[in-house]
Amino acid sequence: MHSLHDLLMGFYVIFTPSNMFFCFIGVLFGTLVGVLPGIGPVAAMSLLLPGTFSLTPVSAMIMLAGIYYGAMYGGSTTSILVNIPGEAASIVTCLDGYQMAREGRAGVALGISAFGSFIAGTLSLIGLMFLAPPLSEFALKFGPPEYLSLMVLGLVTLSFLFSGSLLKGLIMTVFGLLVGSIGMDYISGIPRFTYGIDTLVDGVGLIPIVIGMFGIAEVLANLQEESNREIFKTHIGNLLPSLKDWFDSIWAILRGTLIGFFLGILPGGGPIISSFASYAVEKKVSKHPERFGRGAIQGVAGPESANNAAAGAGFVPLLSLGIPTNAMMALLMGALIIHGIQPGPMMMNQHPDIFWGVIASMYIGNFMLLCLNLPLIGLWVKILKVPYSILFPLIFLFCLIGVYSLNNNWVEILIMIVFGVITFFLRKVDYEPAPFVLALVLGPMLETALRQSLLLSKGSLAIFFTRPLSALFMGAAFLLLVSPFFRILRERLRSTER
Amino acid sequence: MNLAERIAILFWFLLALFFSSESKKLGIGELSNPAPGFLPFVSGILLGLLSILLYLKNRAQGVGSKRKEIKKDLGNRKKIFWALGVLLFYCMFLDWLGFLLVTFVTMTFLYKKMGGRRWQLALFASFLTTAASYSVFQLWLLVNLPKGVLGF
Repeated sequence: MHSLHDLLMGFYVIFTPSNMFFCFIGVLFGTLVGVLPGIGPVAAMSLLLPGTFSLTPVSAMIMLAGIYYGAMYGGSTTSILVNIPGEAASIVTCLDGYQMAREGRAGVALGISAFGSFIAGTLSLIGLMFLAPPLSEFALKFGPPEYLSLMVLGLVTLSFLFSGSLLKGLIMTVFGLLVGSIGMDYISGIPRFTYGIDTLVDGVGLIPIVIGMFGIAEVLANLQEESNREIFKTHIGNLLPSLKDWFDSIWAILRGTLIGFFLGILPGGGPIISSFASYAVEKKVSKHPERFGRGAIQGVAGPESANNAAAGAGFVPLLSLGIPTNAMMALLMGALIIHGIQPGPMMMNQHPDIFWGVIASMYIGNFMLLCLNLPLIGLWVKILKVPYSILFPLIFLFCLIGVYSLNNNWVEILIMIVFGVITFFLRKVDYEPAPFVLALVLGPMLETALRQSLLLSKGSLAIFFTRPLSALFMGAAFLLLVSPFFRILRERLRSTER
Repeated sequence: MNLAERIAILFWFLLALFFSSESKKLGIGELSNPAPGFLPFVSGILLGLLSILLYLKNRAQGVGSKRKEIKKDLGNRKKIFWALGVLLFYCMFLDWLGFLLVTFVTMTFLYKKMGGRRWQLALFASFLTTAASYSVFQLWLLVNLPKGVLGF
C-alpha cells in the first residue's frame, strides 16, 4: 500500500505540464535515435545531458530515462524494415522481423513489437515499484566491503558477457578504472596524472568520453563501411496483430518480460543480453523451431519484450543500491551525480519526488511510445530514408556542441576526439566500450570503498571474504573469471576421450 | 596474430607501464593505509598482466593468423582522415574564429567534400544548420557559444 501511495505522489510529479513535456521530448528523441542506425541511446543521452543542466533534476531524469526506453522501442523499426538494428538490443529482431517484412507482414511485426514492448515495459515497472523499496532498505546494511564486491561482480559480469573474449573485456574494465583515477584524489586532495592540465583536475569528463566512444567512433565506423541502407519496398499494411498473432505471441511476450526483468536486474545484464536470451528460449520452447529465422512472430515478440523489460529493470539496482548494471545506467548515474543527487539506498527518502516521479513517468512514457510508434511509423520510415551524407555532419555537430557546452572548453572536444579514435581502432580488434564506461563511472566509488575497507580491516584483504554477502559476490565473480578455464578443460577432456 | 592485435596489446602494455611507474611517484602506501597511487598502481600491474596473458593466448591460438583483407579493412580511410581533420579544425579554431564562422565552414566542407553535394546545396544546408543550431543552443538553451576574433 505504501508503494501505491508513493506512486500516486510520482504521478502528481509527472502530471505537470513541464514534466509531461520533457517526458514526451525524451521518448520522441529516444525513438528517433532508436530508429536511426549510427547513433545509439548512450550517445543520445550524452548529447542531451548538457541541455538538462538548466532543468530541475526530476525533469532531467524523466527526459533521459525517456530516451533510454524510447530507443528500445524505436530500435525495432530499422531491424524489421531495413535489416539493420537501430541499436544493439534490436540485433536479434532482424532475424525474424525482416523475414516477416519480406512476407508482407511488416505491419504486424512492427505492431507486435510495439505492443510487446508496451506490455513488458509496464510489467517491469510494476516489478520495479515493488522490488526497489525493500532492496533499498536491505542495502542500508551494506558496508564498504559489500559495495566493493558488488561492484567487482558487476564489472566482471559485464566483461564476461559483453565481449567475445573475457580477457579483452577485463582489459577494457581496467582501462576504465585507470582513466577514472585521473584527477583529484577524493581522500587526499592530491591531483593525479593531470600534468598541469586544469581540465583534468576534476577528472576526465564522462560526457566527452562517452560521446567520443559512442558518437564519434560510430560515425567513423559508418563512414568507413558505407552500408547499404535500402528499405525493403513493401506495403507496411495493418499494424494491429490479428487474434491468431496475439495467440501465437502472448506467451513469448510474457516469457520475454520475465527474462528481461531478471537479466536486467543482474549486474552486467541489460537489454542486449536479455533479447538474445529470450530469442534462444523461444526457439527452444517452440514446437516449430525451424520457423525461427524465417519470420516467426515469437522471434520478434519475445526479444522486443525482453529488451524493454530489461530497460525498466535496470533502474532497480541503480535507484535502490546506487549501482549501475550497464553503460546506459552508468550514464544515468553520472547524470544524477552531475545534478547533485547520489543514487542509492538513501535516495528514496531524500529525493522521493525523483525516485517515484521517474517511475511514474515511465508508465506515461510507455503509453506515449505506444501512441508514437504505431501512428508515426510512416514518419519513422521517411526519416530512415535521410541519406547518411546529410545525417553524419549533423551528428558531428551535435557531438561538438554538446561537449563544448559542458564547460566552454575546447580541451574536452579534444578528449572526445581522442577517445573516439581509440574506440574506432579498438572495435576493429573486438574490444567493446561498455565495460570501460561502467568502470569509469564506478571507478571513484570502487576506490573509496576499497580504501575504506582496507582502513577498516587494518590492511587485511580477508574482510572481502569473511563477511557473508561480500563473500557471496566475490565468489560469484571468481566463478565467472575461472569459468573459461573449465570450458577449455572440458574441451580437452573430450578431445582426449576421442 | 595480425598487426592490429599486436599494436593493441603493445598499447595496453605501454599504458600499464606508464600508469604503474607514475603511480609509484604518487605514493602507493600500505595495505592498511593506501595512498593516492594505490589503485592506479594495482590497476596498472593488472593491465600489464592481462596484456601479457592476451598475447600468450593469441599466440597459442594463432588468432588473426590469416591476413585480413587489408584493402577492405582500410577502405574509405581517406574519409576517416578528412573527418578527423575536420573535427580537429573545429576543436582548434572554435574559440578563435567563433561558433558561427567555424560551424559554417565545417558544415560546408562536410556536405560538399564528404557528402558529395552540389556547392549551392552545400552552402544552403550549412547556412540552415548553422542558423538552426545557433538558435537552439545560443538563443533557446542559453549556451555561451564563442564569438571569436571577428566578434560574431
